[in-house]
Amino acid sequence: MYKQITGVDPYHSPMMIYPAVHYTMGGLWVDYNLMTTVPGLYALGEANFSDHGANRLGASALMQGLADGYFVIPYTIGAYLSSEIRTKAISTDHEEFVAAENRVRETLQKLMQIKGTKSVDHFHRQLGKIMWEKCGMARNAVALKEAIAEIQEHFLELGELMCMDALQRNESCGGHFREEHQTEEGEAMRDDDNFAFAAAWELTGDSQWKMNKEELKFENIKIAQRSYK
Amino acid sequence: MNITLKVWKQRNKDERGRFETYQVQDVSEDMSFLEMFDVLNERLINEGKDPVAFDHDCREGICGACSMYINGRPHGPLQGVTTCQLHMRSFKDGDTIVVEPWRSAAFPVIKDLAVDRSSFDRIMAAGGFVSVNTGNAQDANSILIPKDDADKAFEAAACIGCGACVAACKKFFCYAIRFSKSIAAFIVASGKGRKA
Ligand code: SF4
Ligand code: FES
Repeated sequence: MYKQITGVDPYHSPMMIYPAVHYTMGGLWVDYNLMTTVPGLYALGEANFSDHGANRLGASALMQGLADGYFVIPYTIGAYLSSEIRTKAISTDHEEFVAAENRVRETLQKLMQIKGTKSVDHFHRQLGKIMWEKCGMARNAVALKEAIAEIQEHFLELGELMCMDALQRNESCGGHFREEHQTEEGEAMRDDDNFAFAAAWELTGDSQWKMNKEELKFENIKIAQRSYK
Repeated sequence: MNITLKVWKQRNKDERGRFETYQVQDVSEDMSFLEMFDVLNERLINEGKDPVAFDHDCREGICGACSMYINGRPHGPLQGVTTCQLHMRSFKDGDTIVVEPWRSAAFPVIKDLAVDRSSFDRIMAAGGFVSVNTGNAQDANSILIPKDDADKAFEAAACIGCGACVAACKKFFCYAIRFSKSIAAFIVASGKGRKA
């Protein structure tokens, strides 16, 4: 596989390895059946909550997809559908539906009417570069603040929210390594007195969010710094 | 390297398509085939021209979205390699490469190289059912699965649903059985049987 991609035979020259972002952590709350807070809307597979804790470990997305697809959803969605099967087609005249449709149409029209000259790739690359350099595996307050300002100027706001979340978390833990918070040996320094919570961000207006703290309680284990030694 | 592309352009499933010729300069041999298209499309967009529509998702060989007929073969010249995993080093400087959408009546063209593969979904849905849990099944460890069956099940799981076999073979399932021994063939075959 490596040879196929790089054209270099790893049996003869050392493999070139570099880090890359390919997954984001955090997301929707689901119940035991993987249904979100919206009845009938399931989040599963790669979009699943996490069998692995709030921090995703390597190579687990594929497992998640397989486990959910093969073992979980066939047993859970059926129970929901079995009582829904008698529900007639839902009308699209409902005022909420009309409002939602209009909102989406307006946003799309606004984007289309700009008659932009730049490609999707152009934005993807630029935003990607900001996120990679300033909200990457190692992040610090100065760079995060710069990133927030740069994103506000040109881009959609999800990246901004990720930076805001990283900025408020004044500790290092899991995939979040704040350069200001490390041990002398360069390991992640946790602050469980102040940050033993999951931040659930609530959209309150255009680019306005409110943070809801959802406390993390551990009954059977004590949280501690992870040691790779 | 410099490449000449002859690409199938078709606005939608009803209009007639035609080949369009593009020159792509400064192609690196380390680019994937799709990245080469990205470079071309970026240029076309900057020139205010219509980019070439193509399907892709994972770009790591596991989703089966990157359907393209390249020089008369689905996914191009290599065996068992999807278009996104095909690199330009498989071609030579100055080459002319012909790129078409999947050729099959079952896959109508949406635009250019992007086809509608929902016929696969329809076949799967034709035998579809939803089960409701009404009690506990026997413990799986107490049901022994012969090794041969387990191996076949694994082969079935290896299909990524890309549709290359359908595009390649007018008889639908021979390609898959011969080359990938995989499930799409059986789904297609059983779907056909049911309709007949
Ligand atoms: S069996 Fe057909 S659809 Fe499945 S991976 Fe092989 S070529 Fe693609
Ligand atoms: S893009 Fe997923 S297999 Fe090629």
